[in-house]
Amino acid sequence: MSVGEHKYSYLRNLRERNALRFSGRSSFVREIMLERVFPTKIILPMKQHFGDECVPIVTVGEHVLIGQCIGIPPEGAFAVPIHAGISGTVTDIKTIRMPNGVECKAVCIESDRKRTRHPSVVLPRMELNISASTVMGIVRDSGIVGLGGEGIPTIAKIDRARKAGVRELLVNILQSEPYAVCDLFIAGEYADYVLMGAVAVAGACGTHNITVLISADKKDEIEALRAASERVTDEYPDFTIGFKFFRDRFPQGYYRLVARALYGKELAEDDTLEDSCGAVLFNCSTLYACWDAISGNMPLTGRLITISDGEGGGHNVLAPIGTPVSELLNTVNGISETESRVVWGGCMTGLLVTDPDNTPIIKTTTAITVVRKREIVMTKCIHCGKCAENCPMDINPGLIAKLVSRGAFSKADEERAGACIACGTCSYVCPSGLDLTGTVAGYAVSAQKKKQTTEGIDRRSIKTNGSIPSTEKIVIGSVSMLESYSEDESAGDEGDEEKIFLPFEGGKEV
Amino acid sequence: MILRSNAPYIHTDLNTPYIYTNMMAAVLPCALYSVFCYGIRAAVTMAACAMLSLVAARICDRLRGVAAVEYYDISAMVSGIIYALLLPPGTPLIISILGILIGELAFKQLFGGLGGNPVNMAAASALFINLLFEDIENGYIEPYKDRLGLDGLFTLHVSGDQPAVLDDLYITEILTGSYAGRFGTGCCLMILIGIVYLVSKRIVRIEAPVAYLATVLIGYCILYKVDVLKSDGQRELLVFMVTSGVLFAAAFMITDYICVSQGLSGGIISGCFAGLMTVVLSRFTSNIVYLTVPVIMTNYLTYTLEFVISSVRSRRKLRV
Amino acid sequence: MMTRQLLRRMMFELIVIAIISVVVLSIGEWMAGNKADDRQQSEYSEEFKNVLPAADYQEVHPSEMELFADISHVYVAYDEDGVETGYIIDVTVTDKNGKKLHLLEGIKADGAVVTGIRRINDETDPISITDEELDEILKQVMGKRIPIALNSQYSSLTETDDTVIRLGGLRDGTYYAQRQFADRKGYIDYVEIDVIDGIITRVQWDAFNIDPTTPNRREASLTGAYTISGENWATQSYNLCHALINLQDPARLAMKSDGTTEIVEGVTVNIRSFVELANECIDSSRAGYTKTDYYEGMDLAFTRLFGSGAEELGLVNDDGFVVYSFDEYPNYFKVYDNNGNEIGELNIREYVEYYSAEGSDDENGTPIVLDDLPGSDETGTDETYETEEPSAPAQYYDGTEDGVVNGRTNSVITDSIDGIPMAEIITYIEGIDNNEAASLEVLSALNTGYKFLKQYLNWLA
Repeated sequence: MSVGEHKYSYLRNLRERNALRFSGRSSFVREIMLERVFPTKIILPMKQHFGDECVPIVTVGEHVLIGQCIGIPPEGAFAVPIHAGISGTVTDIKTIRMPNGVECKAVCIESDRKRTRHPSVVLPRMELNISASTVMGIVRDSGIVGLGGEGIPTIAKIDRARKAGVRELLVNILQSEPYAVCDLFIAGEYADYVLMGAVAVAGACGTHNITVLISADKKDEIEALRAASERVTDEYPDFTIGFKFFRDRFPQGYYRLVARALYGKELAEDDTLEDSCGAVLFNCSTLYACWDAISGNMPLTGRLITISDGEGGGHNVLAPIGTPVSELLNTVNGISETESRVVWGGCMTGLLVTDPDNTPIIKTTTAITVVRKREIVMTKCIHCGKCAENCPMDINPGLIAKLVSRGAFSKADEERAGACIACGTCSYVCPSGLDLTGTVAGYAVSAQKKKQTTEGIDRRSIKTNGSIPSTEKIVIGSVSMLESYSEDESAGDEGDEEKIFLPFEGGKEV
Repeated sequence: MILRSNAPYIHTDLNTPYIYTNMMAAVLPCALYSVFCYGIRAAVTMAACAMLSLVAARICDRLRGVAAVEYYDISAMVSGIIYALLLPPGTPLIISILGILIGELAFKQLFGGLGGNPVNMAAASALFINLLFEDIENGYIEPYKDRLGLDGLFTLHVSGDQPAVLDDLYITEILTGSYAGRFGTGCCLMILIGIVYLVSKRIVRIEAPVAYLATVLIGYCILYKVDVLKSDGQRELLVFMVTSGVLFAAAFMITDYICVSQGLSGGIISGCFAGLMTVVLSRFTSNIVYLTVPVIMTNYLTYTLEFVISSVRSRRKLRV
Repeated sequence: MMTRQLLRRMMFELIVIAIISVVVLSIGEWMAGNKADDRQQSEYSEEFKNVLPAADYQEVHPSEMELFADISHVYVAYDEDGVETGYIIDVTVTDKNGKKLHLLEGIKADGAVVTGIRRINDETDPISITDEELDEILKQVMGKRIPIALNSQYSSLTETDDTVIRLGGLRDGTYYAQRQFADRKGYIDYVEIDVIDGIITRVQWDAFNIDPTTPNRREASLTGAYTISGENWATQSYNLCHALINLQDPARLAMKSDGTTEIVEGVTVNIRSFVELANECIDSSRAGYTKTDYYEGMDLAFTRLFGSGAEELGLVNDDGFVVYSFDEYPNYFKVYDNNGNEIGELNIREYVEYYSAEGSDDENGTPIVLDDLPGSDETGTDETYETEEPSAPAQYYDGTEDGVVNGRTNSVITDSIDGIPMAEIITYIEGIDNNEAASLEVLSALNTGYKFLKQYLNWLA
C-alpha cells in the first residue's frame, strides 16, 4: 500500500484517533506458527452456529470417519449439517452446555487414531468449473458458517446476497482482537485459496467485484494477497479484486462498522449490509473453508484457531471442530490454569470456559485465549468519558450503565443502549474498572429478549454476541439436504451446466 | 478489588490511580515552581495539604464503611496540592489546613467521596478559605528571596504583602513567574508543561480547557475593548492571561472530569460558560473569585445537566 | 494499582518532568533575576539621580545598620568600572518634638563629601521645611565634607566663655605655620588659625606625613593608625585648638616643661609643637604675614636651596601641603651669633625677612648671623598692641615653667554635636534663616549618615 492512500476507519474526523488498536502493540501480537492437533476425542455440539439445532444421525457405538456427516438439520430448519473431524467411535450423545449458554445435544467421538477419511471425501474435486448453484450446494452441505464468529450459515448469506443483488463481495481480514491472528494467518499463508474461495462465492452471489478489507499495517499479508490476486485474476479475468485499507482499530470487522467505514452509512439494527450497501461481507477464513470444500471436497471439519497463553506463548493450530479446549491447551506450554482464565474466543469478547475438558471448540471459535488473572481496581466512575470516547457505536456506556443501575430503563433505551455490540471496549478502557460492557450488553440482550416476547418477534432474531439478527429474508430452511440445488439463477462465468457432483455424504433419514 | 468474570478479560493499564499519578506528574512542575520560588514554606504547605487530604479521605472512607478502596488514593493528594497551589504564599498553615478539612468534608465526602463530588474540591476550598479569611490576599511574598524562611507559617496571622504590581514587570518575569503571586499559578511555562503532558498522555481532553481559554481571551478583548493591535493592549491581554491564573484553572480545574463535562460538545459548552463567567467577573471581583466561582458554577451545572437533559428528552418523547 | 512496568515508566516521566521544570525554572530565575536587577537599577537611577549619580547601585545590609535605627536603607554607588563611588543613605530623623524628616543623602566615598539630598516626603509627622529651604541647605552642604554643624552651634559653644581675652595686634586673615622637620614618625605638624576682628576664631592643629600614603595624623588617629594614650589625637587636637580659641593666647595653655598641660581637659599629648606653631601664627598675624605669604616664603627657601619652588619640586601633596623635612639641611634655618654659637632658628617669616633685608642670594646653607636679623628681639611689626596679660613668645621657647597662667580650669571642650565630638566636625555652614530647627534636622540626618559610615567603613578607610 502506498503512502497517503486513504485508510478507512469507522471513526471519523476528530474522533478518528480515539478507538483502540491492539495490533500496534507488540505484546498482543504473537509469532505465527501452525500446528496440527489430533485430539483423542471430540465433542460435536449439534448447534454450532446461528440458527437451529441439528439432529444427530449417528448412534452410540457407531464408527464414524473423517468427513462423515453426523448431524443434519431437521426438515425445514435453519441449519447446516455437521461433520466429524476424526475417525473413531461415537461414545456418547449427551446434552452439553457451552460457554455461550447454548444447551444442545453433542456427539462425543473417541478417536481411533487412524484418521481414516470417509470415502466420499477421499479424492479432491477434479472438476472445478462448477455452477453457482453447485457452489451454493457445496457450501451448504459442507456445513460452512461464518467462521469469523458471527456464525450465520454461509449459504444463508449467499442467498441473501443473491436476493439483494449485491455489487460487491467484501473479504473481511480485519481481525483486530488482541492475540487473535488466525484470519491473518490464513490470509497470509493461503491467500490464493482465500481469493479463489472469494471468486467462487462471489460468483454464487452474482457479483464480479471482490474487495479485500485489511488493516494497512499488515504488510506481509497485503503482499501475499496482492500476489495472489494477480494470479487469481489471471485465471478468472472477469473478476476484479480490489483492496481497501483500514486503520487498525478494534473492533472494526463488525459489519455495521464496516458499513460506516466504507460507505459512510449507519445501519440500523435490522438493516443488512446487502440491502443497504449492496455488498456482502465474508470472513477470509470462511472463504478459505469454502474453497477447501469446493476444491478439496472436504466439508468443514476443522478450523484454524489461535491459542494464546496471554503471556508470550501462542500459536495457531489446525484443530478438528469439537476438540476439547483442554486438549488444545496441551499444545501450549506452561499454562497454569489456577492463575489463569481460559477464554473461549478473544480476550475482549470471549466467554469464560469453566470446564475445559468438556468444552469443545465449535465452528465459530476463533481463538482460545488464556488470560492471566488480574485484579482490576474498581472505583467510582470519575466521569472521564473514555467509554463514550472509544465506543465504536457512539453510545455512552457510562451513562447507560448508570441509568440501568438506577432502573431508568426507558432513558437507557433513549441513549441507544440497544446499539451495544458488546465489543468490550468500554470496560477495557474504563479507568475505574467498571463492568460497563457487562451492564450495558446485558441490558441490551435482556431488553431484546423482552421485546421479542412482548412483541412476538421471531425468536431467530435473538442477538447473540456480535451476530447479525436473522431476518425473514433468509429462506433456506426449506432446503433439505437431499434436495437438489436450486438452479433458477445461473451465476456468471461459472454458469456451465455440469453434472452435480455431490461430494459429501447425504443425510440419512433419522 | 474485582475479578471480572465476563469479557473483556484484559484491561487497560490506564486505571484511576494511573490517571491521578499522571495528574500528579502534571502538577509537579507547578509544585516545583512554588518550592523554587518560595522554598520550604511552599513544600511544607503542599505536603501538609496533600497528606491531610489523604488522611481525611481515608478516615471518611473508613467511617462510611467503604473499606474496599484500598489503593493509595492519589487523587486526594492531587486535589490537596492543587488547592495549596492556589493559596497566597503568606497563608498560615493553620488556615491552609482548615481549607483542606472543609473542602474534603463539605465538598467531597458529604457527596460520597471521589467521583461523587459535585464541585471541584480544590477550587471550592480555595474560594471558601478566601471568603473566610480575606486577609490572606495580603499574603504575597517576593519569589526567590527567602527560600529558607518560614516566617508567619506557623502563626495565625497572614504575613506578606499585596500582590505584585504587574505593570512594572518585564515580559520575561511574567512568563517565568518571577513576581509575587500565588504558590503555583504564577509561572505559565510550568502550567504549560503540565497541560502538554496531560494532553499528550491523553489523560484529559483539550476541548474544555481550550474553549475556556479561548472564551476568556476573546471575551476579555471584546468586553473590555482591548486593542490587540497595539502593544499596550497585547501586554494587557498577556498579563491577564498569564498572571490571573486562568491558565492554571484551565489546566487543573476545567480538566477535572468529575465535575466538568469532557465530551466534545459538553467540553466546549462547559469551557465557554466558565470562560465567559471568568471574563465578566474579572472586573468586579477578586482574583480568586473569578478563578474559582466559574469553575464551581460549571461543576454544579454539569452535575445537574445529565439529569436535566435526560428528563427533557423523556418528556419530549412522551409528548410525541 | 499499577503494574510495575507502568510504575517504572511513571517514575521516569516524573523525573523527566522534574528535570525539565527545574531547568526551565532556573533559566527563568536567571533571566528574570537580571530583569529584576535592571528594573531595580532603573528605579535606583531614577530615585538617586539627584542624590548621587552613578552607573550602578547596590543595596547593602551591613550589620552596623542595627545600631542606627534611623537608617532604613543603605546603597552603595558604583561607577562603570565597579569602583565604589559613594553611598546613599536612606535616613529618617526625628526631632525632639517627634517630627520626622525622611531624606536620601548621597555621600561621596572620596572625601565624605555630600553629593545631594532628596526628601522622600512620606513622613507621618513631617517637620516644617519647604523645598526652597531644603534647597538652600543643600546649596550650603553640597561638596562639603561631613560631619557638618551650624556656625551657630559652634559659636554657641564658644560663647559659653564669659570673657574673651584678646591678644593685641592681630590682623584678620588666615595664618599658617608648619614645622621644618618631621618627627620620628614622619609627621610634620602644622597649625592654622583664622583671625576675625582680632580674635582667633579658628585653630587647626594637624600633621601631615612625609610619606604620601600615610594619612594625616588626625585621620590616622581616627582610623586607629595613630594611637596614643588617653583621648584620640584628633579629639585632643580639637580640644587643644578649642582651648586656644577660648584662651586666645598660647601662653595661657600653661604648657609645662615636659610639653604637657593640665588645664585643658582631655589633652595629654605634648603640646610643644602646637604652642610653638601657634605662636608663630600669632606672630605672623601681627606681622600680617598670611598663609599665602607663608607658602611664598617656603618657596623662597626652596628656591635658595634647590633653585625652584615647592610646586616645581613636587613637594605639594594632594591636600596642598608642602611636604618637606629639612633633615638634610639641619642648619639651614639656624641662627648663630657673631661667635658662631647657635642661638636659635628662624621661622619662614623671619627667614624671608632676613633675606629680603639682606637682598643676598647666597648659596645653600649659608649660616645666618644674628646681627643680620632685623629686629631680632621683636616679633612682627612696630605696630602697638596691647594685651591684658602680655607675654613674650620668646619666654616659652626655652620652655619656662609651669602654672602661671590664668587659664580657665573648667574648659570643657569635649562637647559634641549629634553625638559627634566637635573635633570631628569638619564643616560649618550658616544654615537657613529663621528655621534653625529644620537646618539642624537636615544636618542631623547627614551626621547620622556620617556616624554610620564611620562605623561601616571604619572611617572611610
